[in-house]
Amino acid sequence: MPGWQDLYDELEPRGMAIIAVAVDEDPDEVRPWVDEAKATFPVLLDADRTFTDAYAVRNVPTVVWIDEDDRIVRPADVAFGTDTFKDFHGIDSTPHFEALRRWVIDDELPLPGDEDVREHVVAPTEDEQLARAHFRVALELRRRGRDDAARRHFARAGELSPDDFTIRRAALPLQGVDPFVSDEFFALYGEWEARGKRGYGFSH
Amino acid sequence: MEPTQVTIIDGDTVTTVSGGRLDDALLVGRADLAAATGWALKPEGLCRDDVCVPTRAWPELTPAGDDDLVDLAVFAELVQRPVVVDPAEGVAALGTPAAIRASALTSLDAPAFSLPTLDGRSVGLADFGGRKKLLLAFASW
Repeated sequence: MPGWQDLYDELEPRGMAIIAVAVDEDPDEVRPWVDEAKATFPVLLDADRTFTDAYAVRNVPTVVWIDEDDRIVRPADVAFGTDTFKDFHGIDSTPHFEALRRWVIDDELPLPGDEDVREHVVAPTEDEQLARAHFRVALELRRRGRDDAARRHFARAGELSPDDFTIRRAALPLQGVDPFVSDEFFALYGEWEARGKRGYGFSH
Repeated sequence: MEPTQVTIIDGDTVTTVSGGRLDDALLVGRADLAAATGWALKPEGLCRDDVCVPTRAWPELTPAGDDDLVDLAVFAELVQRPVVVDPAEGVAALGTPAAIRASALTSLDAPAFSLPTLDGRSVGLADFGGRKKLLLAFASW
């Protein structure tokens, strides 16, 4: 988040808005990240996953560029605000930031025409959409304290959409498992890496 | 049929009504279905706005035989929505079909949204008209 705030400080005066959307249920889980970055852009909560679904978000951080006329000029893609974890995920933050500057300051499009943008849309599969429905049922059951029933739907969602971290990794803390340092996360990460890190967006 | 509360999740709408359980099916009354999903069961079929889906060949849509209680799974199949039904828990979630999502995304019109901020204000895409926008999905996990 600190990297995004620096970018916002630089490009907001040139006309760019940042709308951050937390793929989370509990604002108290999100607030420390926002406070640490002293974020001045709006931070929204996608508790029901309607945004995540509408933009086919599968991992975080994911960016989408939208122009003045509310047209998508760069579809969902993973991009990082800092290089803190670059050794881990292998993605340099600089090229994305540079492209963003060229778009905001010089009006240079990241993809030249609508057809190019369309080709970079990674549309969801039927299994992914069914997985999202299982996840919604799991969230509802968890709210009711029906943890065992919720667990079955989290598991089924993960089977249907194994490369979607907004389902698989997000489900870990909802079931009392650490999403950063735990056998469950390392197993998930290893499995995802072995399959070729799918769902990381079009540029990776 | 066993009476039970039924929760229908459809996008950002969550509706709980008195319905029933019949074997592995969850049933809700046609008025409740219409309130929760916008689809009304009429003599000509399931209708929403100007669209109707014929239901005459689908007697299993109203398996309780009373012409009122609708099976949610059969309903979803007829209106071509992905659905998850948990009969034991009384919860059903309707999803968005992959084809609808694909055509919306490739239209390149940014899907509208309006969500609460961390302090409970409502903010949406429409609040940033005329500006370049970077949407940033992140998470605590």
